[in-house]
Amino acid sequence: MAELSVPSRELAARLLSELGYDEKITAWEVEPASGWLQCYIYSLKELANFLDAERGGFMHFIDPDDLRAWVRKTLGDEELAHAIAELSRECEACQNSVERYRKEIAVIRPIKELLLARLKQCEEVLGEATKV
Amino acid sequence: MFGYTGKIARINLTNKQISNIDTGAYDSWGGGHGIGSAIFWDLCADKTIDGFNPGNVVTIMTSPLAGTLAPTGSRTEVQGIGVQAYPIAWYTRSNFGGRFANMLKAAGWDGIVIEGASDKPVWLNIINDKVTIEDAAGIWGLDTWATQQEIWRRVGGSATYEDWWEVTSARDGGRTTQRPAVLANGPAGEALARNGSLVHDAGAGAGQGGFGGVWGAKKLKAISVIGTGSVKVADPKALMDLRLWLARNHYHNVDDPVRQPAPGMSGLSVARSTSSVANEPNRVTGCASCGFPCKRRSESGTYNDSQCVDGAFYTVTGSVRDSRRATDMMQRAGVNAFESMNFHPYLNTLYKKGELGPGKKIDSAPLDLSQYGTIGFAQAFLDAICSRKGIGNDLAEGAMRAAAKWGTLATALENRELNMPNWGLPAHWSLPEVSWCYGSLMGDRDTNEHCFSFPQWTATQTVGLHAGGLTAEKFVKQVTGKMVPYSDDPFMLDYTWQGPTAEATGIYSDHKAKFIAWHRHYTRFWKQSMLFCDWAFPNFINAQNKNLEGFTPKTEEDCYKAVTGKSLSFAQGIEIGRKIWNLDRAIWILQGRHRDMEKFAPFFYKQYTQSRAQVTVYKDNKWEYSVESKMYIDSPKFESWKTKFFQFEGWDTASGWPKRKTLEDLGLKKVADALASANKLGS
Repeated sequence: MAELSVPSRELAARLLSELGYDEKITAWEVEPASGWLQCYIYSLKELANFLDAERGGFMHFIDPDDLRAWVRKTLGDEELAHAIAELSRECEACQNSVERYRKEIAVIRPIKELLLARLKQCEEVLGEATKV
Repeated sequence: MFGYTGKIARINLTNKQISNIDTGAYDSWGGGHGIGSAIFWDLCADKTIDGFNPGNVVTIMTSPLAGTLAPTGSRTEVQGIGVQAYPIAWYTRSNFGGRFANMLKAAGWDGIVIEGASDKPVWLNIINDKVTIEDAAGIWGLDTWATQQEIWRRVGGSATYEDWWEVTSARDGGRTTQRPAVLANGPAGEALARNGSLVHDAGAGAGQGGFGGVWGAKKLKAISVIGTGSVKVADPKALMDLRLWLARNHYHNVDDPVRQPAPGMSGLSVARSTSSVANEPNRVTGCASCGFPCKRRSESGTYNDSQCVDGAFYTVTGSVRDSRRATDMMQRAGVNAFESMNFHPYLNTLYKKGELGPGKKIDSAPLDLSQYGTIGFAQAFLDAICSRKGIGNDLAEGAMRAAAKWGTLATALENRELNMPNWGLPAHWSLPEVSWCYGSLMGDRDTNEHCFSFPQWTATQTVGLHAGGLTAEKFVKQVTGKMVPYSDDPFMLDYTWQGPTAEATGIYSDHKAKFIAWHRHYTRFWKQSMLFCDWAFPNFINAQNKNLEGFTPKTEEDCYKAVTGKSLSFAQGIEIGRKIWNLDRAIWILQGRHRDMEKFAPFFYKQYTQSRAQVTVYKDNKWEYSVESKMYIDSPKFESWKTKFFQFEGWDTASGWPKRKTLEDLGLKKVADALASANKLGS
C-alpha cells in the first residue's frame, strides 16, 4: 500500500468532516436477489466503513473512477486520489469490461484499507480519539 | 382431476356467505395467476375502483403442482387491485413460498377468493373442507408473528412440536403433527398502509402490491389453513423419477458431485441465498417440496425465511447482526421491504438537504433523522408507518405519494433521489438488463423475475464459466435455444444500446420486442400460474452438470404431465401465458392504461452509473460479454421500440390497446366486447 505523506490540519479536518447533500458520493450495495441498491455516502469515514467485497452476503462497491474524482475534486486530496489510481491501474488497463469489473471487485479491500489508513493519519494530525 | 382438488373457496366478507367455485370452470387457465385473473375478471364488476374498495376481489391461488412433489411448485399467487403503484395502483400480483399452498391443497382447496369487506376484524379458519369466518378480537393489532402463534394456539390447542393432534372432533377428522399454515396481515396493513405486505411463517411474503393494506380495508387479519388430505398425482413414478433426475444432473449431487457448489446463485446449490445466515449455527431449509432449498434457519431464530431482498431492508447500521434484526422487525410489522429500503434512504436525503426535520418544510416527527443508521431508527420508521402518527401518515402512503404531497417528487425523479423508474416502484436489475425495466413498465410492477439475471451471473461472475469455455456465443445460443417458440433468434440477447445496432438488433429492436413478449408470456403461465419458483426456473445454464445444460423447457413439460396426466407442450404453455397477459392488459386498460403513460422516470433517460450486471452484446460480428454500466434509455428510440412491441403483441400502436382480432384469437371475445363498451379497444 502506498505511503501517504502526513496531511495538513486543514486537509485532515476536511477528510474527517461530514459532507452536505451536494458533496455526496454514490456507492452501491449489491446482492444477486435484490440487484444494485444506490447508497449516498456523506463522508470518507462512512465510505471506508461501507466498502466490502463481502458482508453478510452483500457486496459494497464503489466505482473507482467516481471515487477518484470525488476524492480529488470534492475532498481536495490529490495524493489520496493518486494512490487510488495506482491501486486501480489494472482496472483501467483492462480492455475487457467483464475482466475489468472482476478487478474492480478485487480492489475494493485494498481501497478500503487505504482509506482507513488515511483517516487514521487525519485523526493523529488532529489529535482526536475518534474510532474509525 | 389430477393435481387439482376441484374446488375454490369463495368468501364474501360483507354478507359472510361462503360457497365453492368449481375449479373445472377455470382449469384451462392453468392455475395460480391464470385462474386468479379469470376469476377476477368474472367477479369484479367495476375494475376501475380503488384497491381499498370493498368491490375489490382478491384471489389466493395455488397451482396443480402444489401439494405434490413437483419441485418448487408450492408457491401461492395473490392477486387483486393493488394500492401501491403510482400514479394508478394497477391490478397486480405477488406470490410467496413456504408451506401455505401445500397445506391449502391438503385441506382440499385449489384457492381462495375474497370479496367484500367485513364490518369488524375477522380471520378465516380453514380446517380441511370446513371454512369459517372467525372474530379477530385478540389478534387484530398483533404483529404477523404473534398473530400466527396465537392462531396456532386457537386451532391446534396446546400441541407442540412432534405432537399428533386431531384437527376436528370427528373420528375421521384427520390427525397431523403440522401447525396451521397462516398468511397474516400486520399492523401496517391494518393501518391501510400502501406498503403493507402479507407474511407467512417467519418471512415468506407477498410483498409487492400493498395487499396488506387491501386486507386491512377488508378487515381481514389472517387466513389459516390446516389440511390432512393429499393430492392425486397422475403418474407418481414419473414425478419421482423427475425429481431424482434433477437432483443427479442439475443439483448438487452429494453422491457424485460434478462441481463444488458455487456460492451465489449459480447452479442450484443448497442454501444459495447469499444474504442468508452464515455467521452462526444454522441448517438448510426451503419451501415445501422444493427440491432446491435456498434458505437457512439460524440457531438464534434471527432472520429465518428472510433470504431475499428482505435482507436488504436496513443495512445502513453497518452491522450484519443489526440489519438482520431490522429485517425481522419489518416482517413482524408487515411492511414491504423493497419499497422501504428505497424510501428510508430518501428520508435521509431530504434531511441532508435541509428539507426534512424538526421545524423544516417537512416535519419529521416522530422520527429523529439524526438517529438514521441506528437500529432504533428502523423500529421508529416501522412504528410510524403502522401508527400513521405524524410523518407516519405520509410514510404509509408510500414513497411516491409522500413525495408528491411534500412537493419533492419531481426533483426526486429527475435526479434519481428515488430510484423508482416505473410505476413508483424501485429499480431492481433494471439496467442494463432491459428485461426488467421494459417488462415492468409494460406490466404492473417490478417484475422481480431473475430469469436472465441468474444465468448471466452464473456465466460471468460467481463461477466464471466464461473462462471455462462458455463463450458469449455459446451462452446466447444455449439460452435462446430454450426460448421456445422463438428459439431461432439469438439477437433477443443483444443488449447493444448505442449506435445503429441498438435499433437493428439491440435493445430497441424487433428482437427485443420478441424477447420481452416471450418473457411476459413464459412467466405468466409457467411461473405465475404453474408457480415454478423464480429462483430455479427457467433453468437455461446449469453449473452442476458437465454440459452446463439447464433443464428448461423439458422439465416444465414433464412435471406438468406427471402431475396432471395431460400433455401440454412448452409452447402451448407460452400461448396460454399470452392469453393471461392479454387479459391482464385489458384490466389495466379499463383502469386507464395508455401508451402515453408508459414512460420511465426522467432520470432513466440520463446517464448515471448503473449496475455492473454483465450482458451479451453483438459487436463487430461476434458475441461478447460486456458490462454496460453507463447504459441509459434513449426516449425517442424507446418510443419506437414500444411501437414494435405493440405490433408484435397485436395491439394498437397508437394506444397500446389489444385489437379485437388478437383477443378473439385467444378466446377472449368477452374481453374485447368489454373494452369496446368502454371505447378502449385497439383498432
